[in-house]
Amino acid sequence: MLFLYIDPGTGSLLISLLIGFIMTITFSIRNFYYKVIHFFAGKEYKGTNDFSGELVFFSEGKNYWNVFYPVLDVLIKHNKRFVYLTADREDPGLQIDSEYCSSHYLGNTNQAFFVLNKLKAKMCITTTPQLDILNWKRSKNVDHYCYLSHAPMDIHANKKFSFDYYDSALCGNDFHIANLRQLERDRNSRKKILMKTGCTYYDLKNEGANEQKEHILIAPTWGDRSFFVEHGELLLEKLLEHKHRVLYRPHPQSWISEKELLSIISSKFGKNELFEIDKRVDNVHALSKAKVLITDSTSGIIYDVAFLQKIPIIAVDFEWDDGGYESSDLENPPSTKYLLEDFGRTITENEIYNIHNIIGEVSNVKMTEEIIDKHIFNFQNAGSVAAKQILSIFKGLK
Amino acid sequence: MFLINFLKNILEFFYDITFSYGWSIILLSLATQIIMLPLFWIADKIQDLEKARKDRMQPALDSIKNVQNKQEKYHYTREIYRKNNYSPFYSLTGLVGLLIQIPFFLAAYWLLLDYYPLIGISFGPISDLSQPDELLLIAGISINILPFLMTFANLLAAYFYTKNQDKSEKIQLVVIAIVFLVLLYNLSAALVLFWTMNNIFAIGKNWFLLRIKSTKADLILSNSFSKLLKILTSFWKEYGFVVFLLMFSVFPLLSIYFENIEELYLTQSSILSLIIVILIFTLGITIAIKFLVKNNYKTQILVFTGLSLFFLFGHFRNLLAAMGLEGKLAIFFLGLVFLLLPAIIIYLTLKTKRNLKALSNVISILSLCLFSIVILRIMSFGISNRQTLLHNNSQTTKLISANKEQLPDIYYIILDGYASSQILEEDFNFDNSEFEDYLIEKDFYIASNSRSNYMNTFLSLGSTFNMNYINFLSDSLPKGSTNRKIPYDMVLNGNVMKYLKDKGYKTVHFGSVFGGTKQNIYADYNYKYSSYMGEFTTNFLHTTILSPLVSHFAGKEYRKTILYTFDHLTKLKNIEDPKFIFAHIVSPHPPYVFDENGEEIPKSVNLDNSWNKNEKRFYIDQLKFLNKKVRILTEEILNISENSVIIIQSDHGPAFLEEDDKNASPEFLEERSEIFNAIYMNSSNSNNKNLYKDISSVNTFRAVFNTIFDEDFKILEDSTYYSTYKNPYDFTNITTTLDSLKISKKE
Repeated sequence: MLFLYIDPGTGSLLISLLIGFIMTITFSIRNFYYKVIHFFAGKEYKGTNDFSGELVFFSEGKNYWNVFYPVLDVLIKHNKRFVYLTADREDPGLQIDSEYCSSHYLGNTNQAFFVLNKLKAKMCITTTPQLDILNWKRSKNVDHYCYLSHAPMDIHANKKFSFDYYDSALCGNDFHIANLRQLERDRNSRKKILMKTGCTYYDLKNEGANEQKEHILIAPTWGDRSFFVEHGELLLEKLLEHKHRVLYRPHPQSWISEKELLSIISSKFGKNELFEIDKRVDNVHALSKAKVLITDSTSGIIYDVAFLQKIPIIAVDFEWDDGGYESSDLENPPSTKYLLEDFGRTITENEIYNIHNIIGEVSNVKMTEEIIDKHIFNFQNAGSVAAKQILSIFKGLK
Repeated sequence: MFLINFLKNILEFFYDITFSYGWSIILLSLATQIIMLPLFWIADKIQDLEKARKDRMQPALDSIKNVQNKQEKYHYTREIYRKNNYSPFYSLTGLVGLLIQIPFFLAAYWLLLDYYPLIGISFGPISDLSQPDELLLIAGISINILPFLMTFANLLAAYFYTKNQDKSEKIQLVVIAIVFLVLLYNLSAALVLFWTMNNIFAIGKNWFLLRIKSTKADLILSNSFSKLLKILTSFWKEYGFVVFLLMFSVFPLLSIYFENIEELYLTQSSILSLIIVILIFTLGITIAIKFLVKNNYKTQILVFTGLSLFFLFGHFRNLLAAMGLEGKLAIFFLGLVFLLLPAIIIYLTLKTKRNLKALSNVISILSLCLFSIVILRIMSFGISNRQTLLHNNSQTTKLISANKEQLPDIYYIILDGYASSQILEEDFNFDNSEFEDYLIEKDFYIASNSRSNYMNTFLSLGSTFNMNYINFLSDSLPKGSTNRKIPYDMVLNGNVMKYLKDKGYKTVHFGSVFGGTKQNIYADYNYKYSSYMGEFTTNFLHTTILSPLVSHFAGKEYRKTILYTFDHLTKLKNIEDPKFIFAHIVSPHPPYVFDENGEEIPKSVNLDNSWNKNEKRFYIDQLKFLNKKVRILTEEILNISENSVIIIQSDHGPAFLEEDDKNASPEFLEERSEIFNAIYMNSSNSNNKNLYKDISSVNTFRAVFNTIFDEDFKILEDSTYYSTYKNPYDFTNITTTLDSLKISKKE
């Protein structure tokens, strides 16, 4: 005992500290839970995250290669240096053989984010939305984040807050731009540089071959965002009633998740010689035979089919729960709706009864360059435009 | 404390008008509701603002309600909060209305729980406001009616209050009503009456608040209020972290305060000034660092680290000592933690470019938790112990007052831990007869076989000043209590003081360096070496990084306090006679600050106050110096008037032989209990007829008063009781042990 009459109370202080720490941890645990999980997801990449001053591309995987490639190709041809980071070991980007490009595999997506959160770079271009919302945080040492559209769709089907923390976005069409501006306004979020770019992967695609087209192709999405679950049987009945040749191409996920639906369809219509189920992996065969496509209004293939196959499209508008999607905050309807005004029809569920007449109406619509220009920027030339835009932003950064 | 006095004044004011404590309590309840009205209005507005904010976010939150992925949903919710500048903590603003009532409720609780004028006062059917009402008697069991009435009023108020609110809030209020019923059921009718009326008036208050809502004045006020709130919130955003740092900075001090709350009697003022010093210090450091690093998060982390190291230094050293690490190894560890660690933290904090918000949040929450814990503990002590403290205050005996005549000044000098001459000779090989001879020559009576009645200062002095044994405290205090307030109350305002005041004495108190006798608010005059930091301050600083400096500094202060006392004891000419002068000189008790000539001793000697066998020679040197000072003092006093009483006494002996608490050897007990006891009463030898060589300290004032005031106090049997510091009220009578040791020594 130091001074006889007073207890310094070290023990009591320790207990207070202990209780304090426990309380603090309890209070903070929710905040840290995901961070800890994220932390223990680990880090596979052993290389540097310091690309100070450089132009960095990040791809989540090989699926996006055809989006990046048209841009990267132009950069290499113009002797512009860049870094290519990917979260996919099989990404073709890792094979780029050029003195102007260094590419790195960062591990799986979570491991990649771990590196990216501390990235040092001048500019980072990616097709991954929701920066600074989920586990990918803006790094303080990256001056500029740029979003590169990986589909011609506008942003209705994107998850909430997908673009709020980007500094720029390379947009597909005017609807895309208008919607982003609306969200900026409503949410008071940062004003982005929005570029009229288009969709780069069209640079690599050829227009479909002209075979004899006489099938009605039904290619819905799956799950509760698809009209087909509820109205599929009715649609097939009506089409077969009017002797249309029908090719039903289920979504790849339906073979896994909707086996029951598929067995009902095939037992009911399988014997009808006008009806055929397409089980092929790729859609080339199906598209080459189709004269009209029937799908969901939110389907991702509408633009591709319209621009490349030039097949008119009938989309069934379907009320779906858009909570958790940007759609819930947008005033305008999805841009596909405008496209279908020019090249097909958007119908309600009730109009399925009248499908025969509607097919008649849309069959004669022809795709024109005018329509394409209205609905997509720089069709089949977006790669070089994107490269120029990226370089102009890059040069503008201090 | 301020609030309690405030309510008390209001209560007494109403009593002066109504002459009824019952009505006064009802009016007090009304008054508090009116006083709180503006606060309730503010709480109402805050709740409205919070509701508006929530309403604004609600559509966004609704839109993500069905998101299946939990992690995604969590992140979206956070993003919505971020976009709306919302923190989940804001939902606590719903509790503001309840929170503002708590101080008033606690103040009323403390005031009315044992407010003595209420004892035996009836009001309507209630026979005693200080007791539970016991209005209904069923099968021999009395039931308190008022608490049920209170609950009914409570529920009624809750019903009106939550009319427009959702179910969960209604349930909340019902639960609170039931809790109050349980809490207050067995408490005094006064308190229950107050709370019942409070709830009834609350109904009126809510009606009034609803009534003024959306009137012109209300709108103007709310407008300016929300503007003010905006300024405050933006201020909080920028400087809120400082508040958390301030909370953390006083946590170690409050923690020590709590640990010693029973012992620290009369030192609240020094704690308050320490708190102010710490707050100013923290604020200054924070401003300086903020100016240098220009980043709130970094400032908070750096200041927090600094404060932690500063305040936890002593505790860390104690911890190392407890683990058996001492000497060089301990210094190595201390160096590691207190040099290397801060260096690393400072380096990392300054270097990093990461956003340190999360870390800063953790620090804020931790600070808040630690602060709340210690405050709650102090408050809970206040509630649970108030009653025992107050009731034991009256444990003093009535004394007869004596006739007035020419009364002598009385000097009572305690030399803390001064050994008896026999012990000095046997254990220290020191012959104190020269000093004793001098005193005898000056007509002192030396009680050569004198003992103290207790082993610890506060018990020994308490019994001396109480003129009675204080063993009864072991029954009236909770088991294991270390309460020192009651013995010190006996010292400062006990039988001796009261008796002398009745006689017309002026009491003069010389402040010691030690908590209990630091000052005496009951004394007519307090003298004290002014800049002495005090025992608590010194001890607190010992737990901080200033510890090495404090010992040195404290030693100097210690010297000055003792020298000041000796120098000023006889310089009280402007105080009218007769006077009683009390000085508790905490010496020759260690620390050793005087050599035999009164010079400072070498710095190598430990400056703590433990009895270390290797330091016996310093003890003797210090004792020799005190002898010299006492001689000078005696000459001075007798020069002023030979008609004085001088008592020079130790409160207990040294403790060099102490092994540990459990195994007290007879030799230690003897060393500790035998005291030096010299009494001078007037010049005539016949005055010493009431003194005898075995007189123990409890009989000191009985004998002295019998002699000089011709009183007839019974001389009590001289016994000595042993108890430890940790368990001071667990007494063992050791008189026979001491006697037999003495006999065996003679043989």
